[in-house]
Amino acid sequence: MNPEMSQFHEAFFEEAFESLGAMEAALLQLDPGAPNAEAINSVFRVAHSIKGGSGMFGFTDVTSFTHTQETLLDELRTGRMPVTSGTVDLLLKSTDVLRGMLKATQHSTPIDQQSVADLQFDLEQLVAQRASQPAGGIGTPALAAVAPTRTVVAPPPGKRWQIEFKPYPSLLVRGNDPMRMFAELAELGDVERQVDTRALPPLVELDPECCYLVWTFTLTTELQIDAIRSVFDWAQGDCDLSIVEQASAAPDPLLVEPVMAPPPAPAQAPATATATAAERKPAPVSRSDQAPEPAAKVTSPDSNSIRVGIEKIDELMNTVGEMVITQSMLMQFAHGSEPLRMDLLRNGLVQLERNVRELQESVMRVRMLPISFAFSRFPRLVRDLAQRLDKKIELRMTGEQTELDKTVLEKIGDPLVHLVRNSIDHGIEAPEVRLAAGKPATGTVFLNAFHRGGAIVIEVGDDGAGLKLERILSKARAKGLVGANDVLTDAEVADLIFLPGFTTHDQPTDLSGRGVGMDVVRRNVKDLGGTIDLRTETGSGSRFIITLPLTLAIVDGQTVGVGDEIYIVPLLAIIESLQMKSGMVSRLVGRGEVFSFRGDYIPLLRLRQVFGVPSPPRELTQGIVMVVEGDDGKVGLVVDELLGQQQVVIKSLESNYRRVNGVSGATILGAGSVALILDIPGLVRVAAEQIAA
Amino acid sequence: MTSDGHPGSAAAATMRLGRNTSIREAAAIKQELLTLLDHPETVTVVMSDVEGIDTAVLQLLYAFERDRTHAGRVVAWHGASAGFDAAAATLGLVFGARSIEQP
Repeated sequence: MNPEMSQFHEAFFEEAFESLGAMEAALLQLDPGAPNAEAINSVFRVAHSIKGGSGMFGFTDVTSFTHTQETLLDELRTGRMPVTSGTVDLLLKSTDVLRGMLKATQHSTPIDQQSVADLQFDLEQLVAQRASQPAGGIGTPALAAVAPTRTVVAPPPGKRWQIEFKPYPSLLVRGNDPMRMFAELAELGDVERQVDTRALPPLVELDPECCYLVWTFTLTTELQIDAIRSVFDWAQGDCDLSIVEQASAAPDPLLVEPVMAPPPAPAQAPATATATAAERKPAPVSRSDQAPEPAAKVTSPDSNSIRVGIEKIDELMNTVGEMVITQSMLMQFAHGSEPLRMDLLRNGLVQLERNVRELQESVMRVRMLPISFAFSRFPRLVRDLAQRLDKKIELRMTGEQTELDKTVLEKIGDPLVHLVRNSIDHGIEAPEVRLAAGKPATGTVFLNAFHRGGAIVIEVGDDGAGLKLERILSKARAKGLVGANDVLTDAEVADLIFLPGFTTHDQPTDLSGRGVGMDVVRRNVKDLGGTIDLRTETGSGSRFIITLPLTLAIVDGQTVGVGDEIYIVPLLAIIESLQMKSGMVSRLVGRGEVFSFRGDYIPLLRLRQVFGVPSPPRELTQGIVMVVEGDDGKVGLVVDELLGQQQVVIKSLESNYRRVNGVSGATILGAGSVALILDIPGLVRVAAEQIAA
Repeated sequence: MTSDGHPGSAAAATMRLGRNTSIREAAAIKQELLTLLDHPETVTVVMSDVEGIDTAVLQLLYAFERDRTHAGRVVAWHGASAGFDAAAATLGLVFGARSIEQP
């Protein structure tokens, strides 16, 4: 791989995957009964853009496949072929195959050539069948060398476009060679070109890496201006471009031929960039309508946004975190004993605190992305699963613009998929069952997101059969998870589904029911510092409610003192803090020190002992017990005192020191001292190990 | 790319274009062309090896031929190359002493 070109590959793949998502969304919106022309056009543009980009980088498999997609899409958008649900299905499958091809190309792994060949054949067959009408019969694949068929159709009016392309001198060093664009332009129709060399200086003065040439084209094509604009996408920001429609060509009947293979691109040396190109986003060129206008600079449609590497954001967050710590230190200093002199300092620090908080919130917002990025996969998922299971399902999504941290967003996707699949597989009933129950044949799966306080709430639910609580309890008893005589509330019974290995399904489907999902969902949510609750009503449906912090970079914590050390306990993990009284603590055989809490015995964990804090032993009644909850249960943490609640910036212990059991990170307090942030699930496991020992 | 003409030599000079030349070699190509710019005899540019050539290099060659022609000197283009011809045609550049514009 040419190292100079490889730096652009990632940008191409990133944008290609994003575009594929847009293509899929547009295809899902297509109604075969009333196809939306703009949706078809947008799908065409995506295929065209990926084709162009892959061609530039030499990803010939991708180029060839997208060319086939493009051919079919051109038939659809010009109305030569009707949009049918079969066509949409095929195009959706083609996005899957293309996604696989891009991933394989990105990671230099083998492409599944059989899948590609199979689907490519199906796409070509579809076009060939259209091309072979009205004669009927099986048409040959459109891209093979076939004799043209003479079919007269009502032609759309041809259009002539005057295109002026004036590259900036820096175009060539950015890895853009006009030859590639012009070859692509030639595929759109008949091209006449003129080059203006007047700006080319004498050889002695000529900078060999600058472009001095200007081109004017006259293009005759049936395609719309968007297709022409997209040819120059990669040069946006590096050229002045003008596209003006001239008088339409006379609408003569056309000979319609099966689309032939594209003409070979002119042989050219691999373009190399001797300077790093700025990241850019493909954008339409400036509009030039009927009246000729001065050539306008190519701009991006959303030029008020830029792509920023996530590592830059992380650096910024780190710096803001340091500022927060410094500000805290200064505040502590300001609470000194010279009130007069400190007044000014204190006022300034209050202002600084406000500024830092605003800056922190701004930077956090930079990392925030709308949850639509996670929701976007579901229309396709629901559609495919519903078809597979012969169910009628409507997906309703609300609150898609609710924002959350990018890291949280990336990690919540899989749990949401699991919940939705469960809803479809086990929640929504078959249409006839629903009708018999007096419900509409079409079931509803809904996704909802909103902010509440400093958290994001995501709801996943359905109007299906709801959980069968008796069956859950019966299975739990059969597995020994619940005692035969234990009395549980409905909420407690519903909570049993989060136990590892629990399933009420005798026959797991390939979608769900193997009992390895819900416990993982809960663990993933807890790893993100969140919680998951379940509301269910037999016959009416179920709703999972996930609450997540907006960001993982800071945590609201309770500072506690143990000897001379300070620890931070995440507030979300705390159930209750209480003063121990004599008689509350017992020592049970096989369970160590426990105390009675809400009808259950909770193991006690003395942090002094866990972390080896040197200090004289204290009576339990002199300290505080914080009841906290982890994945596997509750534990009572014995501390000396509660110091206060504050928001702390999380610093990784692992990257600065090493992993320590029972500690999830560290922070620097206002006095400049280091406080360890407790890993509550880890401590619960420590307690369990102590009992076992 | 090779040249076997020497600056100041009265013999015809030849410059052979390589199989693939691009902006990466443009600076070196320019220096080679400059040594031949004022060569009094015909400079022959051999294209037969060319498979790939980009805009930067074609621009240099175009300026070279233009400047020599205006100075009353000759550039001969030797050897058939589909790659060279296709590239030049794509850019709309004409080589071979047709109408060359004034700089």
